[in-house]
Amino acid sequence: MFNPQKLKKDFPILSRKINGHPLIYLDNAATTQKPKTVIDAFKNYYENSAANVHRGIHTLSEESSEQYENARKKVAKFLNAKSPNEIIFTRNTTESINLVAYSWGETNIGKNDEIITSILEHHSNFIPWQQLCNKKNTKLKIIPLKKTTAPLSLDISALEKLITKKTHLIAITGMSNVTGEKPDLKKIVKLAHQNNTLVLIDAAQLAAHEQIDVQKLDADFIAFSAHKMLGPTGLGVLYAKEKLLQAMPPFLLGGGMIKEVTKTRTIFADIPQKFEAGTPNIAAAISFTKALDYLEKMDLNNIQKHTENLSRLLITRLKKYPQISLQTAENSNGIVSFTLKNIHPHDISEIFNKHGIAIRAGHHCCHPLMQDLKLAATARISFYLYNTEDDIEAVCKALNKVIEIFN
Amino acid sequence: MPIQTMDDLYTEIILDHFKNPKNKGQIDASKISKNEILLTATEYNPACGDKVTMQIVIKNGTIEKIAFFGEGCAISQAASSMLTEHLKGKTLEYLSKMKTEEIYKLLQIPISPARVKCALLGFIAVKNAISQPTECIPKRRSEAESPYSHFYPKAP
Repeated sequence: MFNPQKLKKDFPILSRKINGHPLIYLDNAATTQKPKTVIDAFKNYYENSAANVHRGIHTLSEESSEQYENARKKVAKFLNAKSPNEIIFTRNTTESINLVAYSWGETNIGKNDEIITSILEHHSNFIPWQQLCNKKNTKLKIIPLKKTTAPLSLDISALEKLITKKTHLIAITGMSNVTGEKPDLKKIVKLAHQNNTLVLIDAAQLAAHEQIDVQKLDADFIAFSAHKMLGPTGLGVLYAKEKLLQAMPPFLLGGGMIKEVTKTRTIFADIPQKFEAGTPNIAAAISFTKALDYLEKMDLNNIQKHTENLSRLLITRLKKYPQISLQTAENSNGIVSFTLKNIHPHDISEIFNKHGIAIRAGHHCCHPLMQDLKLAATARISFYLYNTEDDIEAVCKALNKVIEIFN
Repeated sequence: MPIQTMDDLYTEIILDHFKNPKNKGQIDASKISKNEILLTATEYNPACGDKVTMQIVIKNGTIEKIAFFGEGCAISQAASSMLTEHLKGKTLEYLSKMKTEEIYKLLQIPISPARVKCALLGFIAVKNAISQPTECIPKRRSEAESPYSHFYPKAP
């Protein structure tokens, strides 16, 4: 069933040529490509059942409402959530985290309270907490890196010292988008709950690479984006425990999130509608179910093994270049960051592109991490299910060209 | 669209300026004399975290010294290096009227939309140095005062 070479044909874009070469797409941590079933579902919504949800008493609105709520059920089932009420659709991971920061954070964080995050965080799981803490005049504590050199690793032992009775939240990534590190979430959640602290997991990368069981993981908030796991852009998910969501005030206010409005007061809708003001991204939610179907068919365990193998192979090859430094964690399964001595990642990416290879060059929205690594940028190769060993051969060929041009 | 080759972008002249940049370093502020003014500004490329700081020393309305420092790709570093060579000895008026097209002319390479900011990083920094410097030595008497009003009558 799982055959990376064969399943390429399910992704129309992978037959494209870039600069005369077949596209080799290695920027999956930024966004993944979409199988035809997802694209067809998107198209089908607009061609056959386009209407707003939860409003009209007509066939089309009933169809779209049903499909939209089925998408919520599908996501809940995929994550093994207790109820679809625990699934809030947002625009993206960033909005999911901001929802928690504004709604839960504004209500629950006071001057003497603390939030802990990590140095690995993407800006989307860093700035909301930094700004909240600044506003509340309190301190954001940051789990640092281990002081050893490569392979990079978060110093989780520091968390035991950072956590206090005043800590209300640990906001941490499930998988770094730079180093690929997957912190020991079970350990973190256990430690947090022993200290009456909540845990938010930025699962933007993790959700695409590991089957998340929210009941087993027991985290309080989990945020991720559809587009990083074969789904469309413009759709994010926030999972949160039902009791937390019920107690939280709404984030955005407006249509679709009320029971009754008078001139002076509003009674808000129950969850999940309370957190979904305005017309949602209906087409994206519906087509995301096809992405989840596809992932279920291929099995995330297979995908995980595959991207792990590719990462190991690539790391072995890169280690043969004396000019290369790796900024990659030992347990990375899919993300490999590196720098080349005296050559800027932008230039690496530019030359790769001339070979039809798409990689990422930059700070990856992780300025605090880059500052600690004393780097302006890294080049990042990120794999997904349709990548093959041939792609690694092409990478090495392009790398040789980069070195040839600059030396 | 014609396919670009590697050599279109990484020409000998670009690579030479990247590997051996001209006027790279920091100007010593303590050596600024009475009739000189040192203006500094930094520009960032949020896409990749690169930054270039440009410094110019103005004497009698002319750019007497110019230097840059910071991190960046071959294109941003080469463009900054070439720009410093181009601007040395030019008047402030010339700089204030200088257009982006002139940077592309200096570089003589095709600049794709993704590389525009790389090509212009140093140029934007030096433009900022005369319009909104992050540092100005000697210090201005007031915020409202143009940093170079005594050299250049009209603010750009």
